[in-house]
Amino acid sequence: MTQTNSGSDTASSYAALRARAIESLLIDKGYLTEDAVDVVVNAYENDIGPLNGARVVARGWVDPSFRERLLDNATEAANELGIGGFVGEHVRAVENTETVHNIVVCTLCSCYPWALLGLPPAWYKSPEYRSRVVREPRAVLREFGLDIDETVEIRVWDSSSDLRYIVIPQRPPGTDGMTEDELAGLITRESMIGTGLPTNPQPAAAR
Amino acid sequence: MRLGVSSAILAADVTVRSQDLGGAHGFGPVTIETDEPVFHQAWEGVVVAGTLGTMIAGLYNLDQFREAIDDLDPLAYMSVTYFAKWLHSLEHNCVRAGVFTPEEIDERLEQIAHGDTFAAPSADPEIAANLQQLISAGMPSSRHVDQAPRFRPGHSVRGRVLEGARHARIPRYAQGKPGVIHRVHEAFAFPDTNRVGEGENPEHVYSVRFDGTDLWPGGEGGAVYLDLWESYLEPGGAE
Repeated sequence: MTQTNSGSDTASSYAALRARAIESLLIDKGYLTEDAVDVVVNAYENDIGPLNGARVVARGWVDPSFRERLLDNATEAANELGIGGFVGEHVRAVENTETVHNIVVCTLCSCYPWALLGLPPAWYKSPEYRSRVVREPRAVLREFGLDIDETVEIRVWDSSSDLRYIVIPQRPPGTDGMTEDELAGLITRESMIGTGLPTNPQPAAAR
Repeated sequence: MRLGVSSAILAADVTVRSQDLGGAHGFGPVTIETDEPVFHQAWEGVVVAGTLGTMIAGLYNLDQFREAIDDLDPLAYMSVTYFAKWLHSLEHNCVRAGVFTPEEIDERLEQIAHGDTFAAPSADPEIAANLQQLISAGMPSSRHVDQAPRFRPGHSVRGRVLEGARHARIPRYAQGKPGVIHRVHEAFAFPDTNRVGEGENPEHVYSVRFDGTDLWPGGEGGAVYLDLWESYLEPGGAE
């Protein structure tokens, strides 16, 4: 959480001071209040995160007709579970199969399905990820510890317009009989971006 | 905002696209932080709140928000942290919209440095309520377009080459490259006009599949699916 580079500390404290000035001016001018700031910070620190997406994916794993609706219109399908809202108005779900592995990026900025996954991790917004994952996805996935078989096609979805993408990872083996909540617990943020797989519930069978 | 490295905003006639990173060479391994916090510093959350609060008030739109960030010269763009770029854009767009002046910012910075307190106006509960509503209900951006889509799934297309278009939402890796329409999405406001106050002019947006072998010969292969407004596409050659 703290940056070790003193140059970064200086830049960060300068930004903090500047942000405080802007915040107080916006409050003066009637565009913000302290409560309004709390609403936004609390929403993305506490309420909205990858568990939303995990619940949607888990429902798709157990309910084939929901899965169809999810693939057809992910926004409306998520809304069935009470999930959606800001930066979740136009979501497309893309499914991993035995022959296709999907990865999501925004090469031009950092577009990401906030309502389903919360705010994006720093690596997603980094020039390293944005530049390389479209051109050499397998090499990037190896850095995430993921080695995709050569027979599997990699599809990289560049979120360059208003649409946001979520990956439906494959359900791991040995999960029959798990409840939806338990299944959601296996579905990691990385698996819904495409840079990881769901947690394997059987440690003995884990790679 | 002085960003410490190079604060130059790109001159209007410069065609560098700082943000157009897709396929760029020279970047190293992805730095993956485990269990990272949503906000590394508290001020980042304040910047997000400020951005939402000013956009919901209609002071500027998302395309203008992006424009300010993309106008940073490449050195600044690469070296400044992500939310520092948001802060730059928030300042820039608020000044442009007449919310406050650069002098008022400097004055407030001095006041803070001197430990002054300034009486805030009585808090209007509607602002927090409006932001909660925005987060919960969202703000759909799809638009109706009378004309039928020009392209259909399976059509061969080519990304147009837009030399000098600094802000066009078509990455250079797709400009001049052949692709196939995968899906016709909804229509959305066209950024190139929406950004400069020339109206939304919504267009159909398409998911276009590009083969990695066409984009980066000799590379890994694979496929890239890119969402493109109709104006960014032209019919492709006969297959």
